[in-house]
Amino acid sequence: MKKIIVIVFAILLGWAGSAGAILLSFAQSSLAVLEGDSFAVDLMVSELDNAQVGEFDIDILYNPLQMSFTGSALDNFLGDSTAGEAIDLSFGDPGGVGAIDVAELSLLFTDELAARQAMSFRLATLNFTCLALGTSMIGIDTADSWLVAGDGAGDALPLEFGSPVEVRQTSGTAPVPEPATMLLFATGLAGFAGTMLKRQKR
Amino acid sequence: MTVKNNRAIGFLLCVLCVQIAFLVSAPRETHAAVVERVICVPWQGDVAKYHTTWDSHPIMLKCVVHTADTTQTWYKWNFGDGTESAVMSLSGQTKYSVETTHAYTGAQGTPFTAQLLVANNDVVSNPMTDSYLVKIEAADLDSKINVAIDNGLWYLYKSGSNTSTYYHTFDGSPFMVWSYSSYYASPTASAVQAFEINGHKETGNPNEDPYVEMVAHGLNWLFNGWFYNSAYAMLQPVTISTQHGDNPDSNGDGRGIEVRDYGYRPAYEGGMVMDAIIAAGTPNADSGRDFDGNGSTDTYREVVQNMIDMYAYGQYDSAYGSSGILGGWRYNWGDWPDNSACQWAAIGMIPAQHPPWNLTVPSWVKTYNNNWLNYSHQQWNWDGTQNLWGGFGYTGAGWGVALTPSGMVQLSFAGNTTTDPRWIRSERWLADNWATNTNFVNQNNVYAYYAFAKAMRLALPSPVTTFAANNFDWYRGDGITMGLAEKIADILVANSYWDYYGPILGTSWSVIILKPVLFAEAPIACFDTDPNPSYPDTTINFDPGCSGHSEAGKNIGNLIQFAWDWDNDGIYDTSTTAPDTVQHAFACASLPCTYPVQLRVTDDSDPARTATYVKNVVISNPPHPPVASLLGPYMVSYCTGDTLALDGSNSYDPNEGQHEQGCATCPNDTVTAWDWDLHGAPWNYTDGSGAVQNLGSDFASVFATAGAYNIGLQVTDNTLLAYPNSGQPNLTDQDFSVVNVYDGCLCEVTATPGCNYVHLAWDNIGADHYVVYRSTTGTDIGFEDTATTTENFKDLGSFVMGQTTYYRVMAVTGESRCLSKAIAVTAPPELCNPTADPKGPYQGCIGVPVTLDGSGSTAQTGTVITWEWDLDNDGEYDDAFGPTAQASWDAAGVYPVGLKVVSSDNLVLTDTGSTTATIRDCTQEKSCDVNGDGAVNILDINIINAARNTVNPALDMDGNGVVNVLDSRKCVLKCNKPRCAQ
Repeated sequence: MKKIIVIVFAILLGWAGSAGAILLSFAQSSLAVLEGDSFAVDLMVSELDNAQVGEFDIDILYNPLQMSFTGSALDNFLGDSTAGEAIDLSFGDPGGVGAIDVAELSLLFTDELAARQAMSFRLATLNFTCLALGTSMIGIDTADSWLVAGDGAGDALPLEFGSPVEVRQTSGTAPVPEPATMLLFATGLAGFAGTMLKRQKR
Repeated sequence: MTVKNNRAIGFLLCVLCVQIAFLVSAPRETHAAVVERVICVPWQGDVAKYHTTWDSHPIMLKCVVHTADTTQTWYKWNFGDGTESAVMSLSGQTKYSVETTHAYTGAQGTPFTAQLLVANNDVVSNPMTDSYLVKIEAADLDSKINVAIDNGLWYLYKSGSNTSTYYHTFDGSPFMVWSYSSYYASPTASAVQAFEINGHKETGNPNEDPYVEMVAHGLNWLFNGWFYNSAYAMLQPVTISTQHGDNPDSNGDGRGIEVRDYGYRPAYEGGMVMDAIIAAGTPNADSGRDFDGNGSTDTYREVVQNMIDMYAYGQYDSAYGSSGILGGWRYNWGDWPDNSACQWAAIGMIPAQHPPWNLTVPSWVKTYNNNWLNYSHQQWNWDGTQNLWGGFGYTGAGWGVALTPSGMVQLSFAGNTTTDPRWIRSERWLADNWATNTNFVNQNNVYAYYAFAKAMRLALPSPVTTFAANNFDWYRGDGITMGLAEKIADILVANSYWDYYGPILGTSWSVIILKPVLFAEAPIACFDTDPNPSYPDTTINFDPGCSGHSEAGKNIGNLIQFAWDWDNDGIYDTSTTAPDTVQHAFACASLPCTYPVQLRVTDDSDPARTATYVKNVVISNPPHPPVASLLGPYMVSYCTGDTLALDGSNSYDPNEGQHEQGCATCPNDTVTAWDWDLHGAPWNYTDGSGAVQNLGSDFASVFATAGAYNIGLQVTDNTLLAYPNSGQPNLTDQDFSVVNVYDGCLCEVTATPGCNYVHLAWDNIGADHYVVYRSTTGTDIGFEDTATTTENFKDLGSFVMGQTTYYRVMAVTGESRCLSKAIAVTAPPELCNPTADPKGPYQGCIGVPVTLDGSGSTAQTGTVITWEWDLDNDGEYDDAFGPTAQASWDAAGVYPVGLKVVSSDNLVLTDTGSTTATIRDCTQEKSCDVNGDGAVNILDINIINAARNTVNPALDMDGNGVVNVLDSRKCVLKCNKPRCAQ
């Protein structure tokens, strides 16, 4: 098996949350992976501040030309779906089109949720395989009209979003980005940010 | 002769003159003994306690000097009142009992610190010294008792001997012997007991208390001593066996222990020896002898148990007609009993059964003893219905001044109470014949007095202090008829001893009788009154704060009851469990009146020990003297910035605002002068004036070195002008206190308060330990030892929020002490605020009550007592009340919810919290029983989930236009079973 090189940058730059909103984000801000190997990203929730997450339905976007989605795994903070405490409603990405549906419904009582959840925790782990060289993004589809995360009472929680994950697919050792690669990355990042800004205004 | 020669001659003459002058004035040190120790006798074994005297009464000052050899040494007394003795010398020994008499003058409460100075030169320069504390008290019975005890113990101290060639111990260890005739055990035991119950224990510090060594060596004599040859041991084991089917061997070792001594009177001497051992208070101490032959030396407890076993074995125990088996003791074990010998068995075994000894006395011993008491009791003086009087005879029914109380103490030993007819008749005889007819109190029979005192102190169920028949206080008397205390105290004050069965036994028993507790140190009852004298029906303060305890390590904190008898009728009218100042007013139809007020204090011992003190309160016409009140003791350090202010402002005049009746021009009586004496005796009150002496940081110029300084305040009124026809001058009163000055260290203590506690921290200077002192009174006064630590910080509770508390820290290293500056700490009560927790956010429907829950609110101190809700966001918490509240809203929206909670114990504190209530229109909400089977369960949830992310009004539970996980979750909450099970 080829060696996987994963570089984690755990610093979220320049983000400031809105009062009362919970934050959906990824544990990783960027990854450098080798072509052909598997890697994972963690979908996180934080800034709960006395609220609990009782259900969520989130779409994750990725570039299917550069990576393939191989599956997801839910954590047990909303309940253990294998023990009848929660229902895994995730559709995944059955067509491999680059949009992964991750959803879960808790069957726990609200006080059970409160006892199980901290201020922040991981909702799910998404697994990918690197297909081709290049740089691409994994991010939440903030434009998805079905995007929702609710509290223990079934009421929608106000949401904020962290930055997408930058994934640099390389061969051999991690390369120094070439100007063309940097340009491509910058263009992609700007486009992504512009889309998010536009949707937030809307 | 030339000028030059004249100068030379002049120089030589000068040198010669200097040499002559030196020879004349230089201290003589040739062949002088090196002074090793000077130890003055501390009152009740406590170097901080004052010996008692009264104004102008010559008392004896007593110290012991140890020298390295027998050559000459010199000493003198500094009496502490501005006078001193001539220089005197000692020689021929290495240990000297040095005494002198001196009369102090002054008001009640005046303290003096006398000193004995001893040096190896005849001008007593560079002396070794020790202090002898004296305080002038009222010239009353209590003072007389103290002086009598003081004198008696000193006499006993001087009477001990260890020089006879007939005295030996089995192991060669040191001993001390007191003797009478051919007896060396019981005189030693009684002397030791007299010392022990006055605070002089073998566990004390022999370098501070000369009696400690005497007690230790005396006890050793009892355990290990023998006279002439080892066949005459003070104690010896005896093989014992079953008697008439009764087993006397409670500990099963087959042995008892008897007092052998040179003269053989084991039943007499045994009880006294047992009492001396018991009064040591140390059951687990090592006697140094293996009496029971088990290969290891016996503890005091084991020795006393075997002495009990010996008494059980040696009791007369034969049936006698209808009397049953008679018990009792006589000269030899098993002899027909006599009531003289019997009492010693009782007095030895009674305390042995009490904590901490808890030893076993077979019940049959008491039963047989009681049979003997029935046999030897006599009754007479028929009043038509009953015999009023009774007593006990020597070897049969009869009566005697010593035998009757001897029988009474046996009654207590056998478990009989003061309701026993034999006791009632015997006590009645004593009551009726106290000072008339037989005239018991004037028999001058110390043996009878001791038997009587034992009987009264050991009566059941509680000690007898006044006779039931006439309420006469047998100890104190009634002011007209003498009590036993005054009878004995008069002798010891005058002569220091009482020669009855020799001066040792007579004096020892006398001292023991004068103490309110026979076998242990007693508590000390004491109180101050002010004003006294006073007016009729005017409140008088009674402060028991000067009470304490004689036992080392115990103090006023060990006293659990303070009972007051306002008219000394033997009935205690009020009591407190703490040393609180209480008030009482006295009527007086015809002035003047005198009320003897009695305080009885009870300690926390098992069995409880008590002591009483009586002081006369005088109700009289004015003018009355003023009352001087000098706070303290004071505590100050040489830390930079530390200050000292002496406060006499609480002084007052009971005649304040009044003057002579009918004298229109007379000014009101009042305190006109406060005069201070900061240098101790002689007390001349010329060191300052004014109600407060604020010395500031200049106190060091008055108190230049670390130490304890006596200070005094004299206040003067204007009686001369206010009551011109009283014939009295301006009246005065004095009060005294102590300034304790310490070297400075840890000068900057830091304090961080929390809720009901304070965290103190200071520099670690490597002291053995640190003592934290706390005061709520001021920076210089009211400090009490509150904690000890080896760390350089301490968290202290009992911290009152909002009140200024003062702390000082003392560093203790060996005998060295230094003190911090005081730090004042005032913590805002808000540190103890409760926490308001309104929970939420809440969800609800229009018009449907929402239960708001504030029960999770918490209090740091006390409890939460009110919950007040603000539901209309007007800032007023007046819309609902209680830990939970119901609220409803008429329109959809998000509403702020406010909660204010109040906690209380000694503080009332508040906190507020807020949340929201989201109210929606629920009228259109759908039923979650979407499959219509009558239950909400996983089947319904699955249907909703299947329609997820579609538009389906039937499944859109929250009416937001789409079906999503929110709808599923809302129905999960409505499932009929956990986990939406079917």
